[in-house]
Amino acid sequence: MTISCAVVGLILLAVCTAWLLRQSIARHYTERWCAANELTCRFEIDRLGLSGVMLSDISVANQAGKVPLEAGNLEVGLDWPGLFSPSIQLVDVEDPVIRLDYNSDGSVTLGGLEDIAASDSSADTELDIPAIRLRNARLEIATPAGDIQMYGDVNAQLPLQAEIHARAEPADLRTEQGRLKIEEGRLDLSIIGAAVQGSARFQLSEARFDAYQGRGILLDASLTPSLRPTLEFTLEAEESAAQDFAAADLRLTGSAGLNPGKLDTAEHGPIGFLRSLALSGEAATLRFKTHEMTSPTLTLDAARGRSGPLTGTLAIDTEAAMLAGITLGRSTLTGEGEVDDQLEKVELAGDLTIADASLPAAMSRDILSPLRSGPPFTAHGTSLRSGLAAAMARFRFGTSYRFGFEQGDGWMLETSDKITATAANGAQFSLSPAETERVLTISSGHAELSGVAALKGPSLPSVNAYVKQANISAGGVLLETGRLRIAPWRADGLTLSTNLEQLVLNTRAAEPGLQAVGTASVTGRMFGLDFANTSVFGGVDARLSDPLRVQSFRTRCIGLKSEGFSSPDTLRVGAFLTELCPQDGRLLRRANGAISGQLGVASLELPFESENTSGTLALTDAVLDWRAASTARLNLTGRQMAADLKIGENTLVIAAARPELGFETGRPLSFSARTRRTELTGSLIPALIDIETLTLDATLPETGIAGSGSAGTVIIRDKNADPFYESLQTDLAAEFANGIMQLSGPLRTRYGQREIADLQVTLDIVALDGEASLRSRGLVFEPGGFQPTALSERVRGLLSNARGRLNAGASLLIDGGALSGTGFFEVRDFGFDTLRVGAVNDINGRIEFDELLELHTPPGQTVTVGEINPGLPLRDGEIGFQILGPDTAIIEHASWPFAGGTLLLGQSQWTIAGTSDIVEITAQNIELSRLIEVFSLPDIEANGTVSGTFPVELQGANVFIRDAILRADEEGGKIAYTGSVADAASQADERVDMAFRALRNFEFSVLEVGADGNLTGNMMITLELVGTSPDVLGGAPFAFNIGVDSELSKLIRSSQSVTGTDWLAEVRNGSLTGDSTADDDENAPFANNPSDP
Amino acid sequence: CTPTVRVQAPTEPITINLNVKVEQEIRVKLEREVEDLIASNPDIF
Amino acid sequence: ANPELEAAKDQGVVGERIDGYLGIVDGSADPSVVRLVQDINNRRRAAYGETAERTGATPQQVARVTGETLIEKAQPGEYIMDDSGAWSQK
Repeated sequence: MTISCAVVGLILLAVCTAWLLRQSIARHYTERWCAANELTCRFEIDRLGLSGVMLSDISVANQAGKVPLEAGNLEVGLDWPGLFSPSIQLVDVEDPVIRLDYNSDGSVTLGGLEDIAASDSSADTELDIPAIRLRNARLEIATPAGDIQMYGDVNAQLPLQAEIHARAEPADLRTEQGRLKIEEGRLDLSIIGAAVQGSARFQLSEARFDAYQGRGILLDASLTPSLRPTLEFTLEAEESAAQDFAAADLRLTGSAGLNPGKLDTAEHGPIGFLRSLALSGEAATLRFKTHEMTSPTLTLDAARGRSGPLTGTLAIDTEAAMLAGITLGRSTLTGEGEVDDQLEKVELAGDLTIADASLPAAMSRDILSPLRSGPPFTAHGTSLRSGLAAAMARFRFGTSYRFGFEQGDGWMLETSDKITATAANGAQFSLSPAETERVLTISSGHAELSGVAALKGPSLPSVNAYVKQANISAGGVLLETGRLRIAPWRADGLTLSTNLEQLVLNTRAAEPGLQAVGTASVTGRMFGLDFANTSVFGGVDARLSDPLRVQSFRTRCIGLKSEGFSSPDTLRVGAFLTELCPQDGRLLRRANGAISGQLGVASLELPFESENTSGTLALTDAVLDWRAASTARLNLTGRQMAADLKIGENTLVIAAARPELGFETGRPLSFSARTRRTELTGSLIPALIDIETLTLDATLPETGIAGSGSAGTVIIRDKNADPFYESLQTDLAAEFANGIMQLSGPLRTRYGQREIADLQVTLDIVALDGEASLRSRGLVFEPGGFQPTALSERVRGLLSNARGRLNAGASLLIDGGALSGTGFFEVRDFGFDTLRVGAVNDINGRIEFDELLELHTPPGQTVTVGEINPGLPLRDGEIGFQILGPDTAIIEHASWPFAGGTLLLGQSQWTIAGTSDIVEITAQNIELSRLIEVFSLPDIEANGTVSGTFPVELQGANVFIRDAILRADEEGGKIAYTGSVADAASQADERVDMAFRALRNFEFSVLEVGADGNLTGNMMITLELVGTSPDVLGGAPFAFNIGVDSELSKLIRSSQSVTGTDWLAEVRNGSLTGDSTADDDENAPFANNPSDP
Repeated sequence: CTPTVRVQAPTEPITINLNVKVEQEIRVKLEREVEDLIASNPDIF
Repeated sequence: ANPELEAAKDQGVVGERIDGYLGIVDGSADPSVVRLVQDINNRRRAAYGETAERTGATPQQVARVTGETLIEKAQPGEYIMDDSGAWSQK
């Protein structure tokens, strides 16, 4: 463009100064004029006439000796419209030589003549321009870089018609900065009135200026002869570069409709002169700054409406391109728009399709680096980045666009149609307009998106979201979405899916933050645990700065619903639903690599299951304190905890106040527990257990639970309605190893706090097999003091006023939670009072129970009974028995030495707590002499032994002997009664006197002692004697039937106080004839006895 | 109960039936003793 | 006074007997009352034995006299058993 105007300027300057009229005046004036202007003018005046002047050999030289103007000959045709006002008609110059100087400051000087021409033309404005004809003209431009020679012909009849033919000589101009090597330059121009027509051709082999560098440039332009001139041109340049642009093998052809009236760019703007422009071009490569296109083709077709700006269509197609580091494959840009004349406002709208684009790995890594996520979603972040990087490695992209540029306002690119990008590996991203929203707006370093976005592809989440607004700028990203859904997205064993109603992500704010309302669910391995579908729902407000802080948002609490989770080896937790409420207003915090949080849980019910234990753990008003990094640590404190467990077939219910539970996943899982008041019930536990404080610290390695624990102030109560034992108290210490629990502790009576035994339990926690042992501490009872009823109410009424020492022990087997086992009781100098047999003292012996819990002993248990007095003082007895249960026992045998013989108790069933029993007593070889000693009967001696068996009925306090008969054995014996019969008795019957005399020395062959009545009350003793007395009647046989009705107990007790024959004091007159004596009802025991249960 | 008669010696034995009543009534002191007994063992009376 | 005993007497479950021992009135009472009665009777028998020892009387007699005394002292509405063996309300 600048070339052509240079040419036009050249023509004007070529017009010589007016030619002086007269040869001499002309010469004079000219020489004076030349001298005035410090010029030396030489010329030959060939002809000087009215019609004109002809000069030849003209040359004008300035002081410096340079000859700016020269000419072969000059003819000036004059016309005298006015007298002294010549007007030049024609200027015809042959072989003119014009020497210009193009100075380094860019000014063009004509060896000093330019000042004159400038001043003259300005003074005489109405000088009309004559026809000018330059033939074989030469133009020499001296530039600091070298000289340019041009030659040609000018034939101009301005302003109506002009014709210029100019040729440039090859020239090679050099300066330090640049170089211009012209091979060929040709300009043929003809202006006829308004019609301008011509052509130009320049061939530069090299042109290097600071603003422009080029090589192998060929410009070929022609102007069609029409009123509205159109410049057809082709420009070819092997290499050309200007400022940021560079092109290789550039080839432009086009036609520009010119508007000669607006050539002045200052006034009409740089492209004001264009009426229309049609351009098509191609190049090997086109580079703008770092961007590069290979073999791009361009077609442009613009025209100006009546007077509006230049509008038209544009299409750019390129085989490949490198745009801001992004390599593109075949891409096309079509567009329609307008540009204002000042080139200050451009608008373009059209479509852009990029067939095959790829981001270099380094660039995509940088772009994607902010997409990072901490545990547990680290893998997802990585997979997203790798998915996007893979997609960006090769993808197709297409969209419509609208581009606007305004000087001073920057540029703006927007699109309101669907943008789609499809990657070679199938990944796809699309952003389609929602309602009439614009989809994408990019302007001077700031991008804004909105619309319905959808993303899917290999190792990419399939996301669709209604993006209300997303603007991306150097400062960061502000993303605001409506509904955002991520379909289940699996990475590293963990599947994440979300369904959000609203998401706001702002990384530009001073403190980057994220707000989301909706649901996020995970399934798979997280924090070392395998989660079934678990979802979190509610609102979250997270400060993404470090430390990360997450508050609840819109909803006070966060809902947590899970179908359960399990730890790889043992624990499986079932479905639960709860609400997590931030304690300090914060849900989660990340600091130095770990995420932690403190949440309130109003109520939580966790069903869980492990090998053979299942149940639910319920917590109320709990505070969940958790910390997750590679492993997860969970601390739970609550107001109330209830665990309802089923272990094998047994049940265990734990209710604890103020539990503090701690879990830490890892190898192995470790957990700790602290609780205040805890109650253990259920079939697994044989008793009701209340614990004041419970502590447990354990781990769960493969080999089974290991750790230690303690239970403080443990109250053990028998759970039967009528408890077997009074509540006991203990403090237990527990050790766990390989799944085995060792428990030990002293047992104390709860109220007396007397240490009574030591408990030892060994239990396999999982199989619930093990053993327990109980060793008493040697218990000493004393009436009024420590009594067995302090141990068990069951023995009340059985061991009243207990005294002596008791040792007991139990060895129990635990099989799957069921208890059974043996035990022993050992008594020393033990005694107690009973209703039936009165005081029982000095019992010694050891009772072995083969089934302790059923209070069952094997047969053959024996104890020795120092003293028992059922009415008759019996010492050193020995009882063999078997206890069958809490109520019944079998007396196998019982024997007391008595009066030289033994009293034997036969096999009998005994109701321990009963009040009425019938037993069979056998008296063996009772020696009469010892019997008399026992009753310390005075005045009587006897020898011989008696035996017999008789039933004894115990009823309440009464011991009834029923028709006991003791018979003397065959040898009989002697009896001698030396007491005197009360006078009344002897006087009544001399036979009685004789009888008593016989009794003084009586040998009996038959002796039968009968007893009937209440041992503790009235007894009827009958004595039947048959035998002889050598002193009476020559040994005549006598038969005595003596009945003694007495209170044997009183007899025994008061025998010491009986003097003489008091006991025979009152002998009632019985008949001597042997008939039966009427049964004396009067002192018979009560008809019926106090009924007892 | 009725004693039975056994013949041991060739001649009819001389049968003597005797009934002895041992009665020792000690009543007087008991009332006062019993009052003491009840007073001193409140938990069983 | 033995509170459980007083309560049992007030409820008419237990009564004093002429033989100086306690008896269950209507024959059925819960085990703890039965055990209470047995315990008291055992200890009464021991007490009677001691008193008898001291006085030369028989435990039976001491029991009898105590029985009579206790029946006489019984509150109205409490149950007593006389020689007939039948319970009656004072």
